[in-house]
Amino acid sequence: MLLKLENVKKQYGTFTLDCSIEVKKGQVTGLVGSNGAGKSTTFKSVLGLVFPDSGKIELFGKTPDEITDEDKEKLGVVLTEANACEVLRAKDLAPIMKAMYKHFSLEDYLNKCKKYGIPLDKPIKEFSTGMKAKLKVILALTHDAKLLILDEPTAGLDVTMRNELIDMLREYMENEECGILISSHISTDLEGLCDDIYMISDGKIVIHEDTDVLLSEYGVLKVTKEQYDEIDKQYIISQKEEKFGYLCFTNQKAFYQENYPNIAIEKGSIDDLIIMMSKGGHH
Amino acid sequence: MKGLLIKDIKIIISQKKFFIMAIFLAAVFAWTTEDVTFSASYIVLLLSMLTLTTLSYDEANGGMLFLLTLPATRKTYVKSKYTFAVLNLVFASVFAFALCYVFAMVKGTALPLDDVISSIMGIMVAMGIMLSVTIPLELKYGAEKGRIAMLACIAVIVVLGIGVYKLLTEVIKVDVEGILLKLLERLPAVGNGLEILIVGVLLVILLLIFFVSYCVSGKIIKKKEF
Repeated sequence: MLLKLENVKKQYGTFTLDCSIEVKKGQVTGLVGSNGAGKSTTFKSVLGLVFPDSGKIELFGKTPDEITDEDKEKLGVVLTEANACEVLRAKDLAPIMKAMYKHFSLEDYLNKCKKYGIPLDKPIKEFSTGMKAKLKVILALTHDAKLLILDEPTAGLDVTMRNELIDMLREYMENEECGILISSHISTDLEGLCDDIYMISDGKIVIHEDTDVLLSEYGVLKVTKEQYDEIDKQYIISQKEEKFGYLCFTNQKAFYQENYPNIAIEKGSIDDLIIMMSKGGHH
Repeated sequence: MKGLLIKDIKIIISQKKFFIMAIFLAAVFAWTTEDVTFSASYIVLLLSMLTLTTLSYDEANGGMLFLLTLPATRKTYVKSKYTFAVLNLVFASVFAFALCYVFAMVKGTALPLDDVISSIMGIMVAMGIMLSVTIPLELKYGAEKGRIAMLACIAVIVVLGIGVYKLLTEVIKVDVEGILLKLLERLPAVGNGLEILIVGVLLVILLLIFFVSYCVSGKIIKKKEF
């Protein structure tokens, strides 16, 4: 087990985070949810940047209080809001990283910068959004981390770049001792990468499922008001009212396919999961 | 910690225009006034302020979030910041002294060693105290509000100082100036040994203030959420 959160609670005004998550060795775990659902707070709690009110966090088997600089060398982190000092250049970051991480590979860093078009001699403040995003990921990937904690690492990247980045992460996962906790609002990134997905809504984990199961067994029924009244609702986990009737989210697509052949059923996707299970949908 | 110190040095190097301007202005002052002591103090003042510059850059744009996700705990960060502040202050003083020395050589004048050393020491202690107050305030309130808090602190100290002075001279009717003058008159009589002692005592006091400030900063950052 690389990371374990058990009933981690944190109160901000009327918002309460109450979160339990596990990241195992050799696994990529996705965390999805709409903006403000509590993803960043979860990440920050893991990293000891905010202090949960209660609950238990274990990172490499240690509580955040016990985490030393040496333990932190085994982490690769990308946070949306976190940026390296903008007057520095990519070149300046190399000796800093070298001094910080025993396993920092200068060669790997320079190669990746070159490969992904990061200028070494320009101050970061002159970078495009995409370049900044790429640099952050490169910094997280070049010091032999055991666990990657990536909050929206693909934000600001175009399709090609996103795919390249996902490939980088796949390559990283070839080492089975490693794991990734990743959040993204671009669900296709996660569908091809994650082994399991946690869905967080209004601070609470509402679904935890293997990605395969989610994609094969979950689905969205499009039903009219009359059909809605008729169907058996025991496998409907949430519904939304629409002009034509209802959208119903189910975790047993096959049940409805067999019993109600007339109903239009769409294959589940992470986008559906987010739309149907976010605040506003009726669970 | 080494990484954080390298980061601070890299930030300062990125401000090299500021350096060149500072040295140029100091040279102009020294040349026109024929008084190197003012330039020396000016250099120490400007360079020691660079510690606050690094603090502002650390904070800007989620910089602290970034730094704390690196192998650097909050404690390491504070330790590196104070180490940097002390090193920077020492460097600034040595650099200012070296500049005065070079200036005197170029101009062919004698270096007023006592004056230069005492003005550098004086400004060094003053800046040290200023940093000891400002660093914890900036860590607690952020760069912007921290500076306002620092100004408020200075205002309070000045008002308190004037208040105490007025209280002593006007209400209790103590001849403060007379006492101070008498004290000062006695000093040189003891000879040069005492000057070194005073400098030594001042430095020890400065280090103590730094240490207290370091502990306070440590407590502040320990509780801070990012």
